[in-house]
Amino acid sequence: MDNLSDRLVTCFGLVFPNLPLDEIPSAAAGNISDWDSIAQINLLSVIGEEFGIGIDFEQFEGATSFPALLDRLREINGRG
Amino acid sequence: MAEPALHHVGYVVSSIALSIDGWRSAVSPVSVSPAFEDIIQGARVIFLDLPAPAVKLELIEPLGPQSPVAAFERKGGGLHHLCFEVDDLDQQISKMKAFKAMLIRHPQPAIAFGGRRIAWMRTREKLLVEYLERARNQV
Repeated sequence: MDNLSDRLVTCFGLVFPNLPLDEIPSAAAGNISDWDSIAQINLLSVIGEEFGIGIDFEQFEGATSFPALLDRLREINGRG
Repeated sequence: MAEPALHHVGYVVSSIALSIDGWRSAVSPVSVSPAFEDIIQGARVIFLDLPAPAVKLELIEPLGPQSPVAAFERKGGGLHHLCFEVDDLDQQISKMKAFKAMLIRHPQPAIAFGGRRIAWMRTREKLLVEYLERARNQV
């Protein structure tokens, strides 16, 4: 796991405190009952804080899994 | 340019039809608007005009499980957002982004406001805010 991934795991841990650490990398909205639209807003808000980026919620539309969010962050990181 | 002014408070309910009588008793509205079904916003809404100088109370009912307020309703509903009227929606969004607020829904016309544009943001304080653009000819 790289630094981006580690920091994203930390974000997930804050929003989904009951999710075991080893399950976070495969987490997706479809397999976590707590992951609804409110949790998505909370998660993106925490990610924005952690990575110091302004999050546009609609630009993250469809990013409802750990790998998808990591990909978006890598894209942003690559642009930055 | 006028400062943002509180326009209404949004409250999510599971059914407007089943709860409106209770709300009439609870807050004694001066008048109640017709219900608006807004497909874009995924909600049915109604406005209760409270006695002056209070603002309006908006009751919001999700239109189906994909509605943006459906998850909130499933958790019991309740106080949901504050809505502020602003002169320039785009300018307000830029200003709030500078304060690290997150844009949740881009500006769109809203049926309940005669097609005036609204946008949704969440502040760092976790407050959900709706911004409603004033009509161009509104003082």
